[in-house]
Amino acid sequence: MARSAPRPLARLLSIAPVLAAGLALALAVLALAGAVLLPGKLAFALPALGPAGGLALAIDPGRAELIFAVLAGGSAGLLAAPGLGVSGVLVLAGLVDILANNLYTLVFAALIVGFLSLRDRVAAPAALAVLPATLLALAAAAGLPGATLAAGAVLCPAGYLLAALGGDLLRFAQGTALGLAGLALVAAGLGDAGPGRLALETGALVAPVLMLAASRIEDVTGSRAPDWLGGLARGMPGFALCFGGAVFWASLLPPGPGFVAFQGIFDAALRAGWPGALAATGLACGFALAGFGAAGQFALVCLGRPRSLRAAAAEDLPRRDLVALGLPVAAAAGLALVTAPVLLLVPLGLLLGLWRWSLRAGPIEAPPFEDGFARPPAWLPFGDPVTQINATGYAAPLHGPVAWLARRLACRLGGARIAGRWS
Amino acid sequence: MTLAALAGRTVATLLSVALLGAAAVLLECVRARLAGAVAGEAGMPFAQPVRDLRRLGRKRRIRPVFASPLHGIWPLAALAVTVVLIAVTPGFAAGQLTAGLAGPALFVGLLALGRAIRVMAEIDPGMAGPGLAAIRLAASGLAADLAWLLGFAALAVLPRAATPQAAVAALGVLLAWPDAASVPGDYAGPDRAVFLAETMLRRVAGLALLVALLAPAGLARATAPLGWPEGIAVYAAKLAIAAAALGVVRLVLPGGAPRAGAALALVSLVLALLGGVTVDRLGLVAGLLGMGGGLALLWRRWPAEEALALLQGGAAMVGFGLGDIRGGGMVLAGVALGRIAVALAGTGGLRRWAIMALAGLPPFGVFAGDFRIVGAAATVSPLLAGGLVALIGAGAARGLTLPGGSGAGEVAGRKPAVLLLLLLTVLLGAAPVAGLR
Repeated sequence: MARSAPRPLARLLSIAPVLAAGLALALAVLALAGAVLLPGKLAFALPALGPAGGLALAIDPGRAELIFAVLAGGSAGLLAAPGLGVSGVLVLAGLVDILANNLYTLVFAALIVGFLSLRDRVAAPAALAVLPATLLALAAAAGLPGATLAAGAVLCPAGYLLAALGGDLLRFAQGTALGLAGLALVAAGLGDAGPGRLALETGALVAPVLMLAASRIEDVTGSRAPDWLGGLARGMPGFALCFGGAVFWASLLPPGPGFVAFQGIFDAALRAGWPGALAATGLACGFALAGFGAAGQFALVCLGRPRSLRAAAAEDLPRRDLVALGLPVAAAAGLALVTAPVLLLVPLGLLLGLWRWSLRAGPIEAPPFEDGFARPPAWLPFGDPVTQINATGYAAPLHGPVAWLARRLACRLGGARIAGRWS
Repeated sequence: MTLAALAGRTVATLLSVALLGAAAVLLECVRARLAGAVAGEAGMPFAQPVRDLRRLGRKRRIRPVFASPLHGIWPLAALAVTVVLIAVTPGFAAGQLTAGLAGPALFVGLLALGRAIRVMAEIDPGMAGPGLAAIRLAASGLAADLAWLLGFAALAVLPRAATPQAAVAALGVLLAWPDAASVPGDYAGPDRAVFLAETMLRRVAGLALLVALLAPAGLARATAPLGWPEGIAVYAAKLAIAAAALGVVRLVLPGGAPRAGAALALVSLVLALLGGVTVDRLGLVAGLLGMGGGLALLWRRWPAEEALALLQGGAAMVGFGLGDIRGGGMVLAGVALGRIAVALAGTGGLRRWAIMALAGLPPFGVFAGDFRIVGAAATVSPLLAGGLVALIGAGAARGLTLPGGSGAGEVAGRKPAVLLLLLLTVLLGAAPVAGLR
């Protein structure tokens, strides 16, 4: 029989995630203050800690902004993801990567981030918060703008294609993080630091939320595939609000910070001659796929009728999870307010005005209006799930071309046997 | 900025929004009237769309039993986004209050946001029919976003609008223009009215965007109110021309051709960034692309008249590229006549003859044009001539063997008009033979 932990230790362990997340948030606020107040670059080094110049760190307003986003996004992983220790180390190593002022420090921290991200799945939300920033720091250190541009131009549409193909909320989160990282890489290749940082910040804020939402929804409904979800906006309004916010900010649609980043990078790409034109083509593909995927994911998960009994019976998440999901989404909203205030406030004001008018336009009736279908049987209270579209059907317009392309590539590269798998 | 200048810019912006709103209503009235006339339902009052809106506004709203609490928010959100789109679109005056925000990415982003809201509104009730419509809307929007971004980017980087690359980009944007999305089927009363109004505004926003990119000249200055009447008149004329151009494209291709549009926009962007190319070569490339696209559509069992119109339009472009203006013009005129003849014939017995005219079979005028173009191609390269013959022949064979359209049957009283059009098509081909001009 396992010996139970002493009571004070068990209590400390139970509140440890709250303490860690609180510390991360306090540091995030400090970083935000640094982003506003720092006059320029502040550098310091500890030569004794290692060879080749030792540990060298530097902070400037731009890096402070990025640290704010990483800490705000990482706090979600610290608060609600199971692997607190690994998440903590990951976030710390990611911070060192962002602040690194020499190659030794950068590579040292990047190796830790890479190892923990690949090894420990439990810390996946924190990994998604710090991995893109690490990737970009390494790309900047490599000093190959052409290769960075090419990698970004491929990664951006590829990531959003992965997200838009649907089938799995985990894949959606990974694809979104990849797409935003690709956007930041294109900006780095073009030498446009501001929008690239904004794309990274957006990714650091929303990707952990999407990853956490995928794992939580699997706990609650038994599946993270949108084919088995649906209608969660009624049973889980808090979750739907947080998930919808994260999906919207990740979608590159205005007025989100991702859109502001996309707009800046797209304009910069058009000014950069033919390499920029090729990158712009990739960015345009990524933009189109991002909107397609985001609208479908939110609608299929949160709207319509439930596609399984567990989805129909799902109740909202505990308050701690909702706080973990909501904080980064709120931070992303703040980022949108700072980067595109007019685009955010004017439609919002219009919407509120129209809503007031709408309330005066008469009450809403809710008769049993079922488009001519017969009443569903008692064991299927929300009707037969096959009478509404699912994620596979939604992504069907993409599946055909993607399968064709994969088959052709497999034919060229691997012969008929591999190609047969795609047919 | 002085207070007077700020006031001038603010008033110009508000006036622009109001005028575009009025233009949206007017355009819808004209469109509904023309659509009624083409469908053989003449006699509809001009202001019927406005009456419909008022009638819907007085009705009660309903909500499907499975819809989420957000069901009533979607139409309002879509309208709010489209109003913002109208506000940031450059209007009749330069230097409006929102001039700093304008840019191709923002326009496409707001259009995409409005469409995403509509997709969610369609999926919200959890019904199969609207869900399928949502998939179609989202898929067509995917290609449209791509084509618009690339096309607008090409137009934005070109030094001036009147270049062949700009024409190709504009053609790509027009081809990718999706048909106005239908109102989600589960909305009624004021909610439906809001969606209908949003559709009208969205249509005019797209036209205003096209005008701003292709013909930005002739604008008044927002800080000089005395020049506003002239600026408004010029802008209204440009808007009317853009609406007519889009109407012609819609007549030839009712559903648009988003994929061909995206391909054309990509070509134009690459050409714009690679530097100038000659008009001849551009026409040749665009024409061959159009012919290939038309043939592909025929093999995908698209309506024969649409695909054949695209194929023959490509042949005309090839003719222009080869310097055979007369041959290209003859084909275009024949395609226009044949397309109208198909629309009027419905599924009646004369449809097959109209399709034959579009396919370029003798004795119709399109054949004479194709013959001239192939002859001109043979003087340049026998391979090109052989390719053209193969494309046109394969298209004609496929077009004539496809099953007939599923539109309205033969409408009484239209037979003489169709016969007259077919006769005109024959005369078009006979004119050069008889030495007529």
